[in-house]
Amino acid sequence: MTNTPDASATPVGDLLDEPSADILGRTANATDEMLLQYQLGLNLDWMADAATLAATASQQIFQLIDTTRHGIANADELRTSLEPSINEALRRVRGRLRIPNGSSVIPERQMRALEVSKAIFQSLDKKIFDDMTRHATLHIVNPPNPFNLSQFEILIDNVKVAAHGKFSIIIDTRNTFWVEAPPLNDPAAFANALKGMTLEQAGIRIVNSPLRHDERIPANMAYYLATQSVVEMQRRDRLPGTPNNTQNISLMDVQRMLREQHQYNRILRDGSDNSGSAAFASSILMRYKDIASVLGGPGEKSEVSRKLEEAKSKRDILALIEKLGSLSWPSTKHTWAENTDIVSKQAAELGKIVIGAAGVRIDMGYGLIYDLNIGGVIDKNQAAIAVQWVQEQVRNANAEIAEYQKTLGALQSVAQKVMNITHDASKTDLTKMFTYTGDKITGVDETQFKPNISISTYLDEVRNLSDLNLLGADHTQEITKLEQQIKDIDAGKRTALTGDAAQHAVIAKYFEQYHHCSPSEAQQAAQYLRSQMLLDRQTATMTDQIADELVPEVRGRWRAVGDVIANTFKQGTLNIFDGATDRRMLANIALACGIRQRYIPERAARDFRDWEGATYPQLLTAYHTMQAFIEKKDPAKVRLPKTQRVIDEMKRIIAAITGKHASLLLRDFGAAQNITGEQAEAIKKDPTKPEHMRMILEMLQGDPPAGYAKRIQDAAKKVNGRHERGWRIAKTVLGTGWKVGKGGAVLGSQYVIAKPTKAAYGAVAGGVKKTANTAKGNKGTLATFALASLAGGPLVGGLAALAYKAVSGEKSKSTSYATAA
Amino acid sequence: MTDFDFSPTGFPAIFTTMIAEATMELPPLTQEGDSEFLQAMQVLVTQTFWTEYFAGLSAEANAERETIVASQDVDAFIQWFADYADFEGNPECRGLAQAIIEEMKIELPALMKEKYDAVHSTTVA
Repeated sequence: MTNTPDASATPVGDLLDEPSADILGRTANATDEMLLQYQLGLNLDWMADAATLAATASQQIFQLIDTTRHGIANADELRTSLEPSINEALRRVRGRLRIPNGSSVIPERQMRALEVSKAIFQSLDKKIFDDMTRHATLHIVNPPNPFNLSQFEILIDNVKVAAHGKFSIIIDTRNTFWVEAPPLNDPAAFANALKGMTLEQAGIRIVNSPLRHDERIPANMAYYLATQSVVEMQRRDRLPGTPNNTQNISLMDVQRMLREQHQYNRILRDGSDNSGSAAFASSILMRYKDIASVLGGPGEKSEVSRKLEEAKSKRDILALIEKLGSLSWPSTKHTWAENTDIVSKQAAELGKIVIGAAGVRIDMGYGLIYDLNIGGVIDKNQAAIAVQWVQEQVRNANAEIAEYQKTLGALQSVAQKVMNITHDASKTDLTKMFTYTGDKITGVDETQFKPNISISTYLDEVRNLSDLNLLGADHTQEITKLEQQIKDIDAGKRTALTGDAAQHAVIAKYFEQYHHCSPSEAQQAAQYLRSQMLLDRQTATMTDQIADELVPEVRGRWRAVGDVIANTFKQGTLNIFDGATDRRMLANIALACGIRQRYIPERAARDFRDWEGATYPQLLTAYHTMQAFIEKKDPAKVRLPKTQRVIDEMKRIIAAITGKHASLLLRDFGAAQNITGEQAEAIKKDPTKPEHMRMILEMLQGDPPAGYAKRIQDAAKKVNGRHERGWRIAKTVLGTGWKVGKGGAVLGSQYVIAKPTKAAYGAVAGGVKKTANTAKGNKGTLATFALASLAGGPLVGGLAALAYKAVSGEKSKSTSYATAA
Repeated sequence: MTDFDFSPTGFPAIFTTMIAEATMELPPLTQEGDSEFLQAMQVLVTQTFWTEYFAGLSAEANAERETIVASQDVDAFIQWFADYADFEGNPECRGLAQAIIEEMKIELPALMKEKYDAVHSTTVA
């Protein structure tokens, strides 16, 4: 594991020895960076005294919400609840710097960030939180000063446009027009789309202008906005402690970023229940552009190419190491330094040979002693022999040196490859490489030099260098796989990641790239964060639902309390596992029919199915599949409740068919309904006429064309499958005896603790005595536990908030708000 | 022994954190049905806590609770918790709750793996 500290926070790895603690510390840093700093734009001194920190955090949050939403209803309630919540969160941190397994420690700074983020999440109305995290994302336009793109002000000082004098407009970019309009690099198309709308429809508010919000946008104003290359945007999100400035940014850039964010949101939310994780991953993608390639599609090729080069490089290094291993190692076993010395001595030693002496001894040192003993005085002839002898010795010595040089060349090549991979160009000294005996390349201490190190030992060390990660993968196989991926990308065969898989990939890559996690640690961190976000959100959603419904009743009779708990829990549980609620079933039917579904904040229903953009076969299949489920007739296995939401969706389908596909409908059903040619022409001409609408409805009431039976069958099968899957999961996890009943979930026989645990806590079990003075206890907490025990599961959080408020006599926490548009 | 947070906001987080930590041993939860699996685990874990907590109390305490449940008296029910499940105010209550949670934390990763495998063996189709 690498213990490189996060750039963004206090080093964690150095302080921790528990792997999960290390990972949790990094998730705390990630939460701090992406959620608090980037999404919410908080600028906090985490180690300030608790009171100051709580006051600053709540002030900044409040101001951000207030400015981006044009005010909050029940502001006082939020103002008085946020600060105490954060204070309470900070109190929890004091003297309790731990999280995982009860043994490890997360530094106080990280703990504070983690707890405060939870407190903020729990204090805010979820609609506001969604709005802040999805649509008020603080893009880092001009680091380090984040700029909120959710709305900005433009001064209109063009004479033609501002005929009655200068005025300002405030553009609310949360309005979908700014995402869906033609791109601003085609100003004519953009202006054309804008001029047909009212100011309100385009999310534009006027300050000090004679124009009314319901007026259509004048052509000259539309053109003026479309051609504004650079506008000076007045910050409307200035937070305490941040600079009071304006920024120049082109409207085109704003739109580009909004479209980009919208696209990420759509990809990341596709088919996922984990909206918090989707928002988090979306922010990562907006903040760190290099991570987008993990999503696949066109952006993937560069990432795959990079991996391919890396795999090839590793393959080559391993090949080099093998080659080095096969080299003959000089038999003298001298070190490189010794051989270098021998070479330098050769000339000097040769010069020592004296003609006429009785024999010659050349001592090269290091035990290399060459004797020429010919039994007498060396004469000229003998001298010639002696010289030949010496030359032979020199050749031998040079051959030995050459072996070293070959080894040296190979080692240098390895070293270069190694250094290229570790991105540390300064460490190219072979001696340091060669003498290194630890498990890292950097920071080598030369006193660790081992003269007797063998080439095989060295090569083993290189193979096992953890930073290189040379082993554990078949690089040739990996190269083949990656080359195929590139071919598939080029051929358009690669499917881009979406939904949960995309969220996981993005978050894991972020941990790997920006929090120095190994790939496996990054996977774990992403898993932890996503799981917690899903469960926290589920708990928080239930909190709001129950708080709204139950608070007025909680002081009433048991039956009222029990009924609300049971009904809410039942609906909540059904929504999770059964898929038989109208909302979930509509989504499943649309999914099964291939209808595009989007999240549009301005629409109260939240879920938006793009019936208008669907094809005729998709619409017809969806309509008849809905009918089958409403009537619960074959192949539907579950009933779709005919709620207002369902009726509205069916009306929208009919409107889409009427508006765009009346001719096809007449083709398929006209004859069966005895529609005359004259009537058909009249319907085509004006399908929205009430009598024509009635005829169209009658056509749809009939049986679908024969060719649609299989389509409807397939769609219904998918919807049935999702319904059945939920129950299978619930029963597999909770036991076959599990059921939803009044008072909450009733478990089957399977519990987390397989055997009675009384032995484990025998010292305290049965030893609980009645609390002597209940006045000491927090009644809110106690009520929490009481009600939580009734319902269990996802309701616990909701009941906690509910009971806390009920007992203390507070109002519902639900904080309504005013919308901008 | 770990000092868990039994405040109204801290209490539910004990379970979500415990589950989230246990997921670190599982393959990426990105398949269809994985969110339902997690939520089912949340039900299981929370319900298990209360089952074990009640089991850890005296017969007298449980009999009293059952009588109150039958009487449908909300105030009495809350009072019962003040008497026997005051985790913040009564060290004995907190001790029992902490011991159960410690035990659950130890057992949860293996159980979660087992449940995950079971879920995926039945939901492949």
